[in-house]
Amino acid sequence: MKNLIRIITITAFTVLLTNSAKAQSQISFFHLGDYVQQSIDVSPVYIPKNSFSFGLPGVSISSNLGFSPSDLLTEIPGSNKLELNYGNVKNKVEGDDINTSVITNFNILNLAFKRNHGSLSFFVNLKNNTNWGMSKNGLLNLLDDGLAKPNNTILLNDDIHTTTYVESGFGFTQQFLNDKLAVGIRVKYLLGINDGATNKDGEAQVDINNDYSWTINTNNAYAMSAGYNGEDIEHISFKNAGIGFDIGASYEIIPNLVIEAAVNDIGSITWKDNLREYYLEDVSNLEYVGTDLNSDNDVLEELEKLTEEGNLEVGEREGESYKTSLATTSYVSGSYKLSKIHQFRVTVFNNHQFTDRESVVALGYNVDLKNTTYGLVGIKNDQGKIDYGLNLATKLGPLQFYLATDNFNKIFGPLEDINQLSFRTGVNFVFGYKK
Amino acid sequence: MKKFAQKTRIHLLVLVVISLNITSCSESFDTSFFEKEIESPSLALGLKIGHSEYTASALFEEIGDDLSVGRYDDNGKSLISFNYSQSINSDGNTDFVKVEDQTFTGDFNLLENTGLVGNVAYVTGVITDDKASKSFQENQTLDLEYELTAANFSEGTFKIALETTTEAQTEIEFTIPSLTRKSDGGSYNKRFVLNNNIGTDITEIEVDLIDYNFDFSYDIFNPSSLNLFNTIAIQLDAVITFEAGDNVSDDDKLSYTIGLNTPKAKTAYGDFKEASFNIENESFDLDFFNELGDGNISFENPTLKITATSGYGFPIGLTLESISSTDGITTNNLAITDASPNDDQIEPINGNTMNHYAIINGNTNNGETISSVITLNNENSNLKDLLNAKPSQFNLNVVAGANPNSPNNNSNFFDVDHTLGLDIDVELPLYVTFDGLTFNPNPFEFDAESVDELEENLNSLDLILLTRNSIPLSGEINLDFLDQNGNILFSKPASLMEGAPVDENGFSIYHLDENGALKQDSNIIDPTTTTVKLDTDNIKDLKNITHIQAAIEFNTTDVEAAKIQSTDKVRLDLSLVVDLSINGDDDNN
Repeated sequence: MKNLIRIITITAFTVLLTNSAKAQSQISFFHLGDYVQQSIDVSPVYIPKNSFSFGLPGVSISSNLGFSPSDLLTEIPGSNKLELNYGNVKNKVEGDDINTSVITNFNILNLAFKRNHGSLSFFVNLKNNTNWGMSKNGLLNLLDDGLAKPNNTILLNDDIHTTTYVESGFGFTQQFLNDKLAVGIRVKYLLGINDGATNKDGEAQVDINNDYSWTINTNNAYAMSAGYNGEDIEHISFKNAGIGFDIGASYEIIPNLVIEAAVNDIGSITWKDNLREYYLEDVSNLEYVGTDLNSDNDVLEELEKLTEEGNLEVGEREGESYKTSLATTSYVSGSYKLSKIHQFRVTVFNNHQFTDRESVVALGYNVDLKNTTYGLVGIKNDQGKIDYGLNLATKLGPLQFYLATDNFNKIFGPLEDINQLSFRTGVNFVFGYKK
Repeated sequence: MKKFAQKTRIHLLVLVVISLNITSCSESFDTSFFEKEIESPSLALGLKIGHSEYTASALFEEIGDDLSVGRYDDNGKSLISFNYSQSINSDGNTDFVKVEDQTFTGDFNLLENTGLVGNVAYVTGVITDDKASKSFQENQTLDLEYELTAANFSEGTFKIALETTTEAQTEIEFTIPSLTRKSDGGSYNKRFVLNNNIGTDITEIEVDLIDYNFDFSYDIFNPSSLNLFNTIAIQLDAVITFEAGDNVSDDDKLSYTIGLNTPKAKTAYGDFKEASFNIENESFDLDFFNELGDGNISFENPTLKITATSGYGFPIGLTLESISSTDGITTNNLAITDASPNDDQIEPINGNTMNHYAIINGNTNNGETISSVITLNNENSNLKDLLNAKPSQFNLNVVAGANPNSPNNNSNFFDVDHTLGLDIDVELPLYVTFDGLTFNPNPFEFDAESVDELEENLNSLDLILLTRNSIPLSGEINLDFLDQNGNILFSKPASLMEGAPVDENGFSIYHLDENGALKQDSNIIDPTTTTVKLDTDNIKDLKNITHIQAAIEFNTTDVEAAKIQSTDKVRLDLSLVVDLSINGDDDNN
């Protein structure tokens, strides 16, 4: 047995050291498994330990800023003040951009019923996914006083996308082969609240010449929005809708050794209502050189001319219907339980929204008791650094409290150095126990 | 049961450990970082205001309204030059050939050798047919300072009066071969009758000179020679008719008087000697030097060019040493240092090397004109010294005369319609050295209203000045910030400019292309960049600023003289860099 544990441990850490981990994986929460009904958000296969549970509203926040507060806020030498230091953030960027994302999930409603060989669940969630591929040379450059730096190029090709939607539906898990195989599926109706994005193929480039004149090039530079714009509630419309799926399966290969796979958020939302595009006309080497000081022209007039028709015209137009895919993620996991208490689990997480991202790999250990589980997870995050997760679910009477974080180790360091945050917590009412 | 209790205890123990751990961790959270005050965010923005390009020509034209900036060809390159031009009035020469009123008289012995003796009452038959004939010839000479061979007059009269002492009728054919009618070319001829026996006496006549030409070379005694001058040839042919009782005497006289009254020569030929020619003295102000202020300027190769276009049939000499310049205190006269007197129409006066003529060519064909150009420069004069003394006035006090250095044997002609066009051009090619020469080109507008609106959020404001200089003069630029009344609210030293390097001929090797790039051949030369920081007081004053004046001070001190081409330019690119607080209602300070 010790050898088996050793093998699993060595294997897990080998994987950890050779793969970059990703934030927002909620792996620690994933490892809570069937103890918590909200785990169906990350794994459709759910075999409740209670006959019925009712989830109170809970929240899940996962963020990956790509930089820490101490990167952005630096101390002004000789004072006790902080200043925004975009240049410092820029210097932290390895490569051309920082992938910054915040995923928020509000569990509005969650009901789960245990069946003889499976479960049935209902849920309503409000989700927001915001991703900002923050270009080192883009807005970050501009905010870093880029317009005041001669011979600087500001390349505005930041890939920004934010989506807010409500998902509601049901989940169904069925066990087969003497309950060794379990297959789960969730079907969800997606109601788009709003969506906004920059055109991935567009860019706007401003070259700051050595005399602070500008050379401007734009190509297909526009941003689009759909749905609720913060003003007219009527734009929360069923026209912006879609269908999504989560599917998963688990199989007990040998007693206590289970493999599990889950693919979540398959589907898309079609945006049809209140479609707007905010665009810059394409220009090629448009020069802003000020005015001839010996003429009667005014520099502000020259600036205004920049945005006139035929130049860098800024406009708004009606957009065309488009689809946004859900941020599909997947988990592949293998677990082994010793003495029915000590569970070891290796999990690989992938975010398929970003094809350039590598897998998150984690090794977890949980103590599984009847009404309680708790454990630690070692995670190699997307920055190649090791994080430690912590999870806990415990039932005290009809109330179940759960907590999971993938960045437990950050608690021990300066708060301002945290650049990732994954946190999920909530309370459920659980009734009955049905083994 | 025991086992269950044991598990529960372990369970609770772990929970306690985790809880205590989290609690202890949370208590150990150092949140002091987030408790620090955060400065209001700011954003810096650079903005090109514009550019101003000054050609060297335009800069120098700003120096003085009276200054004409021209082009001077130097080895095929166009060198800027200061040009002063002055036309000299030479209109007062219509009476250059002046014949004063004068009278010629003569008398002859009318009855000498006629056979009469003594003073008697004539008796018929004493002289054959009671008639006698006599002819008289004489050359009269005009009183003139020159030697005229011919002339005609536009005004004046020629009056002839005859008298005789005899009582016999005397008919006289009065001929003046020197005076020919314009109508038929015949000599003037007039019949006079004195003591007319049958009619009225004719004793005097007045002739309008305008109808006649004078040939002052005619010799009555040798008509074919035509080698005299200032001569009026006269011939009188008399016929005396005696009547009985006429009181006659063998010494009776016939006398004549010829008077020239108010003659005004239209044309004249001859030798006008060294007669003076009227030229008015002129002077012109060199205000340009006053504009220099404390700056110094030294011209390496100034020229003074005298351009004459003459219709006169005689050369004219202008005395040069009377040309002078003055700064109001000291007067410097031109000195000729002519090393090649035969080549440049500058000659010493009568061999006196201290005084010189500028020779204006005389015309050889009447009715045509001839041009002369006399150039004074470093090689033949001290003109450079005159101009480099920063004079306020240049005086052209020349004295003119005909036939310079040729007092005799001249063949001249004059016509009252002839003219002499005389222009003086002072050309100061900008092959110069400067010391603190300041230019103040027109200020450019600077609308600071928006700065006023942003003042509360304005953390700093810098002006960035890029200078590109293809003029081979180093310099300094000072920015004066002016209010609407032109008052300087504050000034800022802005830029030190390197002078453009020069080639072996002294010309700049840089040029500014049409896009404002400073280049040496095709290689781009970086501009000089200067940051002008405005302090808080300056920024407050900005709302009252309407114009910025770029005062450019050029120097060539300690370097060799520079040649300024018309294509040389200096370009200023002005930009603004501001740092703005994002929220204006800040209480961050």
